[in-house]
Amino acid sequence: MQKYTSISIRKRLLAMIILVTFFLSLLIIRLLYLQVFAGPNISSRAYSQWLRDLPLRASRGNIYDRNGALLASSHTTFDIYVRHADIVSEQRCATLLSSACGLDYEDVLEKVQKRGYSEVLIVKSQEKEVVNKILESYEEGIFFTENTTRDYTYGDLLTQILGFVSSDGNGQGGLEAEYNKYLKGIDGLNMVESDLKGTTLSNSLSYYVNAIDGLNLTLTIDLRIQREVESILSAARLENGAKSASCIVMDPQTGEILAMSSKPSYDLNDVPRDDIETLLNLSKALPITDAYEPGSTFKVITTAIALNEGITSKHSYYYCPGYRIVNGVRINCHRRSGHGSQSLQDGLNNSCNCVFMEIVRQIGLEKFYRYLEAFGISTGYNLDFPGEGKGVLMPKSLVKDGDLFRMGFGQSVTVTQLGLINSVCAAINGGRLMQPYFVKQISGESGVLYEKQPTTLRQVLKESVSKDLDPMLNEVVSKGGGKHAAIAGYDIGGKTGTAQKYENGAIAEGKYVASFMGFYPTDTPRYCVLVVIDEPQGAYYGGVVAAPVAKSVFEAIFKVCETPKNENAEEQEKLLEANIELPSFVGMTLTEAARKITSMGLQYLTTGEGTYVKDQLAAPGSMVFEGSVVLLMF
Amino acid sequence: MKIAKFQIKKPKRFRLDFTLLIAVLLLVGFGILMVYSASFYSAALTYSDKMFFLKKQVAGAVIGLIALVTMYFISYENLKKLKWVAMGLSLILLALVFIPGIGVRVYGAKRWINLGLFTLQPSEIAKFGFVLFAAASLAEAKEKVKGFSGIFMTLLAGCLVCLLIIMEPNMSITICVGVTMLSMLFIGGARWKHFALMAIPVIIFIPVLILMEPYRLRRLVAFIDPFKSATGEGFQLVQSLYGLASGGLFGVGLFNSRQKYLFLPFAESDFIFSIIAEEFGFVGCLVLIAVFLVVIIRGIIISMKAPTRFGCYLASGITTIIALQLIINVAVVTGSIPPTGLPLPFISAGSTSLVVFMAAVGVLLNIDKQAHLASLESIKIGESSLFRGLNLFHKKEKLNKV
Repeated sequence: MQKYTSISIRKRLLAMIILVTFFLSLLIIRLLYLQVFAGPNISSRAYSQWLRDLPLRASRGNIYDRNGALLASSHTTFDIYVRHADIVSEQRCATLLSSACGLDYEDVLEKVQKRGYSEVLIVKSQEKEVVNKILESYEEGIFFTENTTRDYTYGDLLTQILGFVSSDGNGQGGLEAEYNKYLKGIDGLNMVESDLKGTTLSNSLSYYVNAIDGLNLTLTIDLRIQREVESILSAARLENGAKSASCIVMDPQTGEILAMSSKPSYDLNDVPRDDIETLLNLSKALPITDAYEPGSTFKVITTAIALNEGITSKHSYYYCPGYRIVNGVRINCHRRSGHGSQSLQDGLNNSCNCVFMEIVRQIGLEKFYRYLEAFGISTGYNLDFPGEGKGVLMPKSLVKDGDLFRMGFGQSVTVTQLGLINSVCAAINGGRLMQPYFVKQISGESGVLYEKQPTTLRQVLKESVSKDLDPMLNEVVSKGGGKHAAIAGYDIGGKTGTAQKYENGAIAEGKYVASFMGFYPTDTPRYCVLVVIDEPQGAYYGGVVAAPVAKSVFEAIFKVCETPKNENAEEQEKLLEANIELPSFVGMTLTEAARKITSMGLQYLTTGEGTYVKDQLAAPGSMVFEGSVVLLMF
Repeated sequence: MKIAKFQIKKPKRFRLDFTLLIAVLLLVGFGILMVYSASFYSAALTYSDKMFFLKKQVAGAVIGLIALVTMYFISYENLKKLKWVAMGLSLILLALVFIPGIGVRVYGAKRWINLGLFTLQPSEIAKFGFVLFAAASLAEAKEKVKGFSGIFMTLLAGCLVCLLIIMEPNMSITICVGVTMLSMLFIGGARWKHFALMAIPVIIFIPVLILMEPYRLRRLVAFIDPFKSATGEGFQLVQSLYGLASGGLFGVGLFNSRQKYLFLPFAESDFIFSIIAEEFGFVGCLVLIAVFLVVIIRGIIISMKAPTRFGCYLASGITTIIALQLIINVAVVTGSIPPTGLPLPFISAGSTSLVVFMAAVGVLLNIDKQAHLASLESIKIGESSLFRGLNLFHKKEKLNKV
C-alpha cells in the first residue's frame, strides 16, 4: 500500500502540518497577549458600555429665613419616557399616557411611534400621583426618571436675592448660585447592566451609591419684614410710575441683611426663561450690583467724617447765600434764595448744599478719599452674593475743587445702595464697618455645620461720632426734611436724598433718584432702612417720594417686631399731625404768596418763570405739617 | 508467519478512526452549546425565540451526522466519478445566487439561495466541490503535474469558482478557495516555478479587489487601529477584542458573556470564537485549538496513508480547508488580519457549513477505512503467495496500476 506515496508527498504533507502549527502558535501567542497581558487594560474600556448609569439625583437643600420659615425647597418629579423596543401596544400606551398626563392623544402617539431612538421623552416634571396612575394600569415600555423641581414658597419674593435653578439643577444667579455647591449635594449612582440598546438585563447586577442631599441655608432675611417690604415697594413703584424701586433693611450692629428687594421682579416659580433680556434685567439685584449718585443721603457720611476729624460740631455755624462760586463756576444750593446763617443741625435739616461744600473743603480731598476708601465704597464688602458692585471714585488727580465740593453733597460720586447703607450703618453704630451678609447658617442632617458670626471689617470712626450724629439725624426726621418718615412714639433718625441723574455726562432733564435713609432706634440702632426710587414721575423729592415709603417699612417693622412706643408718643403725635389746611395760592404774585406761606409757618420753593402762581404742590385743601415746603409753579 | 496466521484468523475488517470522530463530535457538540450561549439573547429579541439558532444548529448537526455516516459507508473512490458533476453543480449553484428571486441578498452580498424551507450558501458547497474536482484532476495527472498541462484543469476550475464567489462578493471564501487550490497543487507536486507564476496575478488582483469596494479599504484602515473608529468601521473588531480581553485566563464562565448582549455583531456565527474566549478564557481557547489540531493532524495522517493518489489529495484538500478556516477565523477575531466573514468550522452557527464539513469528515473517515482495507488486502495477497518475491511483484504491479 501507499506505493504511490513518494518521499516528496510525505515531506510536503509534513510541511503542511508544520505550517499550520506555526500559524496556530502565532495566534496562541496573540491570544495570550490579548487575554492575559493586555486583557485588563482593554476590558476596562468595555465596562462603560456594559453598565448604564441611572442617575440618583441628590435633593437640593432648602432655604429658610432667620426664623425658620421655608423660602425654597425641592420635590421629586418624574420625567416620562417610552422605549419603543419594549412597547407591546402603541395605541394602549398612548391612551394611557395621554389620559394620565392630560396630553393630546395624537401628539403622544406620534412620540410613541418614533423609531430610531432608544428612548423618547414624552413629558417632563410630572408629579408622583401621575406616575402612580400610570403604574396602576401598567403598560410595557414606559419608563420614569426621577428629577427635582424647585419650589419657592412665596413666588415673587426675594426674587433677585434667591436666584433660580436651571433645569439641570444648578443655581443661576443669586444665593442659589453663590451657595450652589452646598445646596446641590452630590448625586448618587445606580449602575445597571444593560445591552447595547440600553435595555436593562433581567439578571442584572446593580451598583448603587447613595446620593448625598444638599445642605440647608438659613438666611439673615426676616420673612415677616421682607413680605411687607415687597408689597410696600410694589405699591410705591406703581404710585410713582418709577423705573424701579428698591429697599434694604439692615441691622447696623451685625451687618445682617434683614430684607432686600427691588421692583420690578418676577415669580420664581414661573421664571421668564424665554425672554433672556428681560430675565437678565429683572434678575439683577439692583441694591447690590448697580452704583448710583446718591445725593443728599451722602451728607450723613460727609458729616460723620467731619465730626471724626473735629472739623465740625453741633456748635459750628455756616452761611448759605444760595450758591457758591468755585473756580469761577457757580454751584447752586437747592434753595436759590439761600438758607442764611445755619448751625450744622440746620444744614442737615434743610439739606443745605452750601454747608456741606464748606465742610468738605475743610476736610480736603486726601482725607475725604481716605475715609471713603475706609468705608469700602470703592471696594465692596466681599458680600456672599454673586456680582457685588462697587462705587466709583474719580481718580484723585482728576478731581477739581468743583468735583470735591459736589461730592460733599453726594454728587460726582457713585455708590451702590448696599455701599451707602453699610457706610451709614458704620456712621451710626459707633464707627464699626460691618460685613453685610445673607447667610447665617448652613446646616445638614447632622445639625448646624457653619454659623456666620457678625464680622467687623474695621473701625472707621471714633465711637463718639455716632453719639453726636444720631440725635442730629433724629431731628432731621422729627423737624427737618425727613418729616414724612416720622412715626409718633418712635425715635427715627434719617436723611433724605434727591439726586439728578446724568446721562452721557450731562444732566438728564427730569430724571431723578429719590431716596431716604433711616434708622431706629437712635441709641444703638437695630434697623437701618434705605429706600431708593429711581426716576419717579411727578414729585421727585426724596422727602416726598421715598420718606413715606420708608415710614411704611418702619411701621411694618414695628408691627412685626412688636416694638413698644416710647413715653413721648402722644406729644410727638400732636407734633406730627398734619394740622394746617393749605389754601390756594394760584393767581398770587411771588411776594403775596411768600408772605402768606411764611406767616403760616410753612416754607416754599419756586419753579418756572411767570409772574403769577399757576399751580401749587401740595394741592389746595390738603393737610400739611408745620414747616412743610410748598412748591409754587409760575 | 505466526502473525500472519493470527491475522487470517481474525481479519479486523471494521475500521473507524475514533480519535477523529470523537474530536469532531466534541467540536460539533460544543458548537451547539456555544451557539445557544451566544445567541439566546439576540434570538429572543429578534425572533421571540431564544432557541432559534440552537434549533437550526441542532437540525444542521443531525443532517450533518447523517451525511457523515453516509459518506463513511460510500467508498471515496466513487466520488472520483462525480468530479464533473460536483464541479458543474458547484458552478450552477454559485451562478444561481445571481438570479433574482432565488438569490438572497443579505448585508449587501448575494451569498445565499432560498430553497423555501431553508437557505443554502453555495460557496460552502463549492469549496468542497472544487476540492473533489482538483483531487481527481491532480490524481489523473500523476507525474504530469510537473508540467503546466497537468495543473491546467485544476487552475481553471479554481479560478472559475473564485471568480463566481468574488462576484457575490465574498472575499474570504475566495481567499479560502484560492489558498486551498495552491495547497493542493503543492501537495500534488506542482513545481515551484509555477507557484511563482501564479503569484503574479494574485499580487495584482488583491489591490484591485480592495480598491473596487471602498468598504474593504475602510476595514483595512480600521484594522490598523480599531479603537480609533470604535463606533464605526472598527466597531466589530473592538467588540471582539473586548470579549477576548474580558475572558482573561479562565473566562467568565459558560453563559456569562456580556458581549453577546447585542454588543458583538455576528456573535453566534463569524465571531463565536470571541464569545468562547470570553466565557472560557485563554485556557479554553487553548483546549479548543488543541482539539482542532487533533482533527487536522488526523486528517494529514489519513492523507499520508491514503491508498490512492486521489484519496491522498482529497484528504489533504479537506484538511486544508478545515485548517485554513480555523486560522483565518481566529486571526480575524483576534484582530491579527483585517476582518472578513468566515465561519469557524463545526462551531459557528450555519447549517450549510456544518452539514458540508461533517460530510467531509465522513469522507476522511472513509479514506481511513479504505486504507485499512487495502492494507488487509495486501496482507491477504502476501498470505496466498508462496514466494515473497511474488508478493513483492504484486506490490509493484499494484503500484503501477494506481
